[in-house]
Amino acid sequence: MDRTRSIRYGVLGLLSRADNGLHGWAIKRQCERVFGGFWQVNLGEIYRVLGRLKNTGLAEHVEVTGAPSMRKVFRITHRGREQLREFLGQDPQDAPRPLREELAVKLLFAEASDIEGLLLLVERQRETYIRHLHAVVTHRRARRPEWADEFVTGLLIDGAEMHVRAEIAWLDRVAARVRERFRFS
Amino acid sequence: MIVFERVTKVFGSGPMVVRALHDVSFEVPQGAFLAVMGPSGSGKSTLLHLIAGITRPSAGRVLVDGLDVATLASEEAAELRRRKVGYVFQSFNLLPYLSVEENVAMPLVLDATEVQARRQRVEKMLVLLDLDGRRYHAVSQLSGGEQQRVAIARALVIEPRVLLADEPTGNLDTSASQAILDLISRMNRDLGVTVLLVTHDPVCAAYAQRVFRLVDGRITQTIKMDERLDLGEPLPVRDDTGSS
Repeated sequence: MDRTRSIRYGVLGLLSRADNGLHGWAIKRQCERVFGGFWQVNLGEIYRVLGRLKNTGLAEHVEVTGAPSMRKVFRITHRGREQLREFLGQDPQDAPRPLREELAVKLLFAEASDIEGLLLLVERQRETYIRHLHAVVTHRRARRPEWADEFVTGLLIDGAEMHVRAEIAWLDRVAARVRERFRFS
Repeated sequence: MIVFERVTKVFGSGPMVVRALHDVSFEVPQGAFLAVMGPSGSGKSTLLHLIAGITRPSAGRVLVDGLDVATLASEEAAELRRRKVGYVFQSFNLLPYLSVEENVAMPLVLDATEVQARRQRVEKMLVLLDLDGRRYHAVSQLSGGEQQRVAIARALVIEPRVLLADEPTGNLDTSASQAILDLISRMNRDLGVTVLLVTHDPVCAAYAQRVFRLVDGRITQTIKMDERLDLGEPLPVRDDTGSS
C-alpha cells in the first residue's frame, strides 16, 4: 500500500474509534504508540490528511468547549465510516519488499579492489538493522496489556523482527559469498 | 568489571591447532548488558568459559572484578563460579528429579550457605522469577520456558556480579524466548548484575546495550545501542480530544 493511502486510512481508522473526535497531535501520538518506529509521520502531514478527509466529506471539524484554540478536533462522518469499512474488506495492495537495490548494484559492478569497501557497507547495513531491532524490542518491552491496540502492535513487532532477521541473514550470506568469491579474508 | 587484554585461546597443537579467540580486547563495566553475536564456531562460548575460569587463555589476561582468572588455583576458580559468576545454558542443565526449589538452592548447598540465609535467598528468587507456585514440582514436569526460568533463578541465587548466558533461548519457542530475554533485561536493570549473552540470533542480541560481532575468533564489529530510546507513556485511545 502506498504511503499516502496508508496514512489516510490509518487516520480515518483512529478517528473511527474516538467518539469525541481527535486533534492532529493526539493522532500523531497514537500512531507513535501503536506503530513505534515503523511508521514515522509528522504533524503537518496529519493535518494535510485531515484537511483532505474534511474536504471529501469523510471527516468533520468539531467545536470542543474548553479545547485550546490552536487544536482543531476532527470526527469521522457516516460516509467516512462506510469508506473505512469498504477499505477493510479490500485485498491488500502491498507489493513484495524490493531487494536491497543499492547493494545489489554495487555488487554487480564491484571489482576485487572494491571488496573491502563493500564488506564495510554490509557491516554498516547490519549495524543499522541491529539498532533498529533494539528499538523494536524496546517497544515490545514497553507494551502494556491494557493498551487498546496492544494486539496489533504485537503483530507489527513480530513482523518487524521477522523482516529484520531475514535481512540480516541475507547480509551474512552476502558477506560470506563475497569473501568466498574474491578469496577475501 | 570484566576486562579482556589481548586474549588468545588456542586448542590442540601442531596441524590440529584451532584458534578459538585471537587477540581479543574489551572492557565491560559493572552493570552493563553485552551481547556477543556470531556464527557457530566463532569463539562465543570460549569467551564465556574464559570468564567463568572453566578454561584459561593461551595468551593475554582475563580479569573479573580485578581478579586475573588465569592465575587462580582450581579451588579459587571454583569459588569464583560459586560466588561471582552465574551461568545459564541453552539446555538448562537442571537436575531433572529434583524440585524447582531444590534446583535453585543447589549452588548455596554446594557453597555450605547457612540454612536460614539459604531459605531466604531461594524464596526471594522464586518470588522474583514467578516460580513460587511451582516450587515443589520436579523440573522435568515444567515447560522449556519455565525450566529456563529455574536455571536463571539458580544462576542468580548466588547474587553474582556477572550473569553469563550461552544461547539461553536456543531451545525455546518465540513467546518463551521473549519472556526469558525480558527477564534477563529486568535482572540486569533491577539487580545491577552484568550480563554477557552469546547468541547467533540478532533479535536476542538486540536486547543488549552493546553488541560485539565475533567472526573466526576476532571482534569484527561493535554496535552501541541508542540509550535515549524513549517510547513515552500509554495514551488514551477513546478520549483524546484535547478538551481535558
